[in-house]
Amino acid sequence: MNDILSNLPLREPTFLILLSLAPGPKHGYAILKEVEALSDGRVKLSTGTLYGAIERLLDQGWIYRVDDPIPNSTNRKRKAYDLTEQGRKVLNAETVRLRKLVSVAISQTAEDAP
Amino acid sequence: MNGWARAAMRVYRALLVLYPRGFRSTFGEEMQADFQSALLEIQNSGGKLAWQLLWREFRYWPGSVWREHLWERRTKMPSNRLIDEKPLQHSELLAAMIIFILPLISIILTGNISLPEWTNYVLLVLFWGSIAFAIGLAAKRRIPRWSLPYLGFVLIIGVIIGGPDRISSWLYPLVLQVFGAMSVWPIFIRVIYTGIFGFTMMLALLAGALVLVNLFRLLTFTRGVWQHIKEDWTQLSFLLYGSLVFSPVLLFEEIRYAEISKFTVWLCLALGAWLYLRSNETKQRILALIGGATGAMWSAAISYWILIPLQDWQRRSLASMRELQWTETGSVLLFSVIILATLLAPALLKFLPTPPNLDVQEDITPA
Repeated sequence: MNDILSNLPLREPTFLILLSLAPGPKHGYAILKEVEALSDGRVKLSTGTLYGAIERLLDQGWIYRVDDPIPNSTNRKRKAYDLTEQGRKVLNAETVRLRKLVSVAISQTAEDAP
Repeated sequence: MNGWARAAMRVYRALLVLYPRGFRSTFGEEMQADFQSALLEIQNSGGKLAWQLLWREFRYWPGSVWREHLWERRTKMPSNRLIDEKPLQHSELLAAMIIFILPLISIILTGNISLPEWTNYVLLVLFWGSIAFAIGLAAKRRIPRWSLPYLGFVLIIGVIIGGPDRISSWLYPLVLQVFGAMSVWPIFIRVIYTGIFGFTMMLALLAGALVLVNLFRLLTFTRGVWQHIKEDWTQLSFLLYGSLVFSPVLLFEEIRYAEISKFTVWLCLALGAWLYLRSNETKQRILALIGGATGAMWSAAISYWILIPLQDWQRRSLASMRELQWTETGSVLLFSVIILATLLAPALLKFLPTPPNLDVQEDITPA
């Protein structure tokens, strides 16, 4: 658990990439679209940024590569990415941290309110 | 895809080359596929968001390329790699240290106790006997790690017998022609001239080490040593470091009252060797050797500065004692730089071509 906590807080793009993979494996382009959707269009990753982050996440063992089950229009062989057990734990831990932060922020602003 | 999309795709593909090779080979194809998907989607929706996509992709490109190169350096740089090696046993550690400890014992005995003349011979026989025994044992056990400084020591003896000072004697008339008589040479020319001896010696030592390494990798018997050196280039530095055991003999050959100086030099070398053998990271290992060699050479330089005015050299030198002090001390400091370069030179081993079918992990001798 301490190992996981030492990785927090996550940077927003990292959190969003992990979050986009929470429902199941996705290939790079699907991750790009999902990140954009999850952030209401605020975070738009370039392909270079995305694959740099993917490289780091693979290295940390938070995600792993799988064959993309969905065929694509370009007929290129694609790989998809999925969360590992460790990646899911990190995502959950970060979500808990953010939830606590938001609840503290809500209670604090409620107390301050006239 | 239409014209602009094809052009954008070509530019994208060309820019991929700027990424590190490893990153490109792993993700290059996927990146192209994703970019192509984005282009097709925009094209199908009328192309209105094309500039946004291109702006986003190319604006972050330099930063992304830079980060990947940094990442690759950080993750693949061998300088601070943990070396996966069995730690030396106490007996092996002692065997490696004997070559550094024996001169210390010898200087303590000869410097402090009035021993009869024959004991010097006994000490000499003991020293050379130990070297010969260690070399024999090392050969029998396929050159284990502890024996590397002994090989360096043998190498330097070979170099000295080969006579690198011949180059100095060949160069002397040339320098005389250019700068005139030695008495009028500027001090830095004297330092460089004196340093040439050290430089040629270390160059010959490196050439010898290169021959030895090639022998290691070509002979089946020593292929394991080559594998170890390839894994950890500081092992070759340690071999070269072993040659420095002879340096106090050369440095203080003509200097009186140098017992303490020799002791300090050998002590620094022994400490460096000890720290090297106790560490298990490339960075720590090379720092231990550099620390030992620098400590040894700088203490030799300080000794030169102190001892030279006490020498009786006026009769045979045209230079003043102060000039001699600067020249000799400067040449030792120059020698220390040459030694550091020599110890770091094995880092270039990675550029040595590997002969076909020799890159197989086989026949590794247990340390």
